Amino acid sequence: MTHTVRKSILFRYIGFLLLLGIPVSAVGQTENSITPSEVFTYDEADRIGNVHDMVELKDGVVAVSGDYGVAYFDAQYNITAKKKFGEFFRNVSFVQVPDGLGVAGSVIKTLNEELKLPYLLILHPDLESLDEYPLCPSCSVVGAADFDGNGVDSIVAWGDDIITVLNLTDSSVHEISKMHFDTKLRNSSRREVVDLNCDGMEEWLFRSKVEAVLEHQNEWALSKYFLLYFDEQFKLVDYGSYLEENWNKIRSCSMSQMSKKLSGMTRYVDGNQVQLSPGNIGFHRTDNPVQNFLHLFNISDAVEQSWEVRMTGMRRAVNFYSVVDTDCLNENGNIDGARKKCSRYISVYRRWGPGCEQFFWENDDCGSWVLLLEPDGSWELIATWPEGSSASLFTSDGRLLLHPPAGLLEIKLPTRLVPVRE
Amino acid sequence: MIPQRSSLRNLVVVLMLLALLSSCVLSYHQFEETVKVGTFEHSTIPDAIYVHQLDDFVIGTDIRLFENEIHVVGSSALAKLSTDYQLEEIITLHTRKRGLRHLSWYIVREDESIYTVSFRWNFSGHRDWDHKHFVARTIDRSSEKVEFEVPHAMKGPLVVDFDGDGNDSVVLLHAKSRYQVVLYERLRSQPEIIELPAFWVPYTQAVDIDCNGTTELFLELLPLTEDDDKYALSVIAGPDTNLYPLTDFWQRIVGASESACARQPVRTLVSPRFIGTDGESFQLVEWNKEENAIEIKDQFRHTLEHWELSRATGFGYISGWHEYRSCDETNVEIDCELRRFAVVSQSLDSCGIHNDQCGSVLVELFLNGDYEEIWRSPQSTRTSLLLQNGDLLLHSGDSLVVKNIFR
Repeated sequence: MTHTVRKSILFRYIGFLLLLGIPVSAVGQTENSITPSEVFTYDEADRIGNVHDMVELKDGVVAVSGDYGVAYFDAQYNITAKKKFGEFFRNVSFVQVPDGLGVAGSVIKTLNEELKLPYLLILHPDLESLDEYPLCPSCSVVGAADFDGNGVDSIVAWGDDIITVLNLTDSSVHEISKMHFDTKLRNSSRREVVDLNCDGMEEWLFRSKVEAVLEHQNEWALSKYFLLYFDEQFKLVDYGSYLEENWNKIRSCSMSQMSKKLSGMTRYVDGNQVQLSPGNIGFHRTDNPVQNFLHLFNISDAVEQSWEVRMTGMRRAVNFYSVVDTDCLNENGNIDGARKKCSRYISVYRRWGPGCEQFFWENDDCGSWVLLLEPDGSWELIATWPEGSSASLFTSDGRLLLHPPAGLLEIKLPTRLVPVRE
Repeated sequence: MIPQRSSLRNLVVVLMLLALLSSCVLSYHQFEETVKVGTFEHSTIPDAIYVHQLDDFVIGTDIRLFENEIHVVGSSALAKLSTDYQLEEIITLHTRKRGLRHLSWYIVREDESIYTVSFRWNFSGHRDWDHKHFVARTIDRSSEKVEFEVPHAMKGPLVVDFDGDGNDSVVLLHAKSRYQVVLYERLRSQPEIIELPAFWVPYTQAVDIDCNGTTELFLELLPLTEDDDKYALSVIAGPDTNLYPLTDFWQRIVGASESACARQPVRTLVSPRFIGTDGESFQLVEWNKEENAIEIKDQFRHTLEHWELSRATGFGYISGWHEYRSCDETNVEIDCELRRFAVVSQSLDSCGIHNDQCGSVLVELFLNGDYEEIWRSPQSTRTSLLLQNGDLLLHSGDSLVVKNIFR
């Protein structure tokens, strides 16, 4: 036996021993699991793939968009409309088009033997009309927002050198250079649609890798937050500059009125103190075998709170909601300090792949996890489902919905947990 | 006739030699125009008295005169020069180990000697497992003076001498829900922590506001509450390192007396924001990228002075501010003239793409918006130092430049 083979076997043996040492349940978990209700199940042939976006419409109607189609459910979870796409839509999501709620996605079209180009497709509310827009070869659709506040979204496409914004109001195309501080923005992550100053004109917040000297601070920056916003023209600035210029507006609006659309952006108010989190708990990276902590980041990149939740395998933070425990509020008196103490977070995770299958044998390890996180670092796993859901929706009446490929699930949260309303 | 394989090989060798020769000739002709440093290709800096030879010694971050030696510290090395600008020693500060990266270095005085401080990233390939360390090294090549892990969001270091005893404090800034200023006068001692009522801290600057020989930490911040708005411009000052709203510091601590700066022969501010006072009005300098102008504003953002530069455009910042009083020796009290110089460094989002100018420029600023361009560099000048004899040291790109600005 060669030295290399012996070493390999030794490492595998050590690795196996280490894995045995990883507890299946972790610190803080309690046994109050809620079994989700299967409120709608598709026939196998009618499925619309992995659902990536869920929105609540009027009268309790819920719309879902997936890789292969869209479906609309009434408040009793009957399908009222459905459309299957002819092909796989990448990055599918709902967008506001001039005539209502449309669906955006992209496909790779083979134009000839050598040329393949990405195309943006917009499906109109009639679920029949389809608009096509060619994208640059390196472009991929990364988001949509109502930048000009006219009720119609613009699509954001990320290319090698530029960010392209397509305004669906007039199909105008705007190109924004990715150059910043002598360098080019590398990637985008933690993407959120926000309306920081509550003026109805949304901004697109994301984190990007830059490798440059931020000369104001004499500091090398590796990643920082940027904001794409509309001010007569589309502008790309770092988040700090935007805050500096708009701080008074942001602070006064966060104290006096609710943001038009929070869309995953968590803004919680404690007295006059405002903290923003990117609405993203944990990491989207999925190549680590073990993740020990879920982190709630302050927008300044400091870890605001942590919970020790061990998860193995591939995982993705699906959504993150702020709730308040009303029992706790009643016990502590509804004052500012109590609101902080009684704040809770609901975090939805999708877990899949060889990690959870290989290391664990309980059925509920892969699939969907719903966690309730408390400010003191404790947490409980309040619901699991063996199938993974890539989207979730917390409705205005307090229903938590998941949509794995097989159908729609409803999770009845304890009535003491109510969504934070500013 | 089919050529033999050896003939073909000879032909290929000859062609390769010709290609090599032509590239050498081309390089020789280009050499006078550009100097290649690491991954950057720099045009020669005008009036450079010293050009760094080390690949990574590109970004000069701090210059300090200490015991008749000029210390220039860059992103990865430190140069010692005599006062007549002869290079005495180059000391490598960085490590070339994979996965390690030092950030900017700064010079700190302690106990009649100096050492350098920086942050170092230990990259793991995954952000979750990356580590950030504060490191301090003596400059005699001995081992690191002290090293400890800091949170990823820790900023700095800034160097401030709060009590004027010649021992600097190292200041770190930690972004938490309430920002923390962490002060170490002695690195091995427990730090003092001051909490700021801030959501965001856009600017920090070590500055001697009242010109009494001690330095203060000037802070510009976005306050948490409306009650905290008075701290939007604030200062940490004095041996007790108290946090004051800037107006309180000026009224209660400095008093109504005229700034002692009037008696200072030279004044140097690097990456300046706060540059002076005029009664109860504070003068803040900034680069207006829309109007391509240097502007002095008061604390209410009213523009006090404005210089529009015709050959510097776009994104940039004021990297240096230098002033002195030029006095007629016969009547010092009457004939002093305040001379002001600014270094504007550009780092344009359009630099090099839309034919905008890149680099930095040294200008003298006069009243009524007039200015005179003294020197221009194709590279950013990130640090500069005005010596008592009027020599202004500028570190630009890979070069050190000296301009005497006294007349």
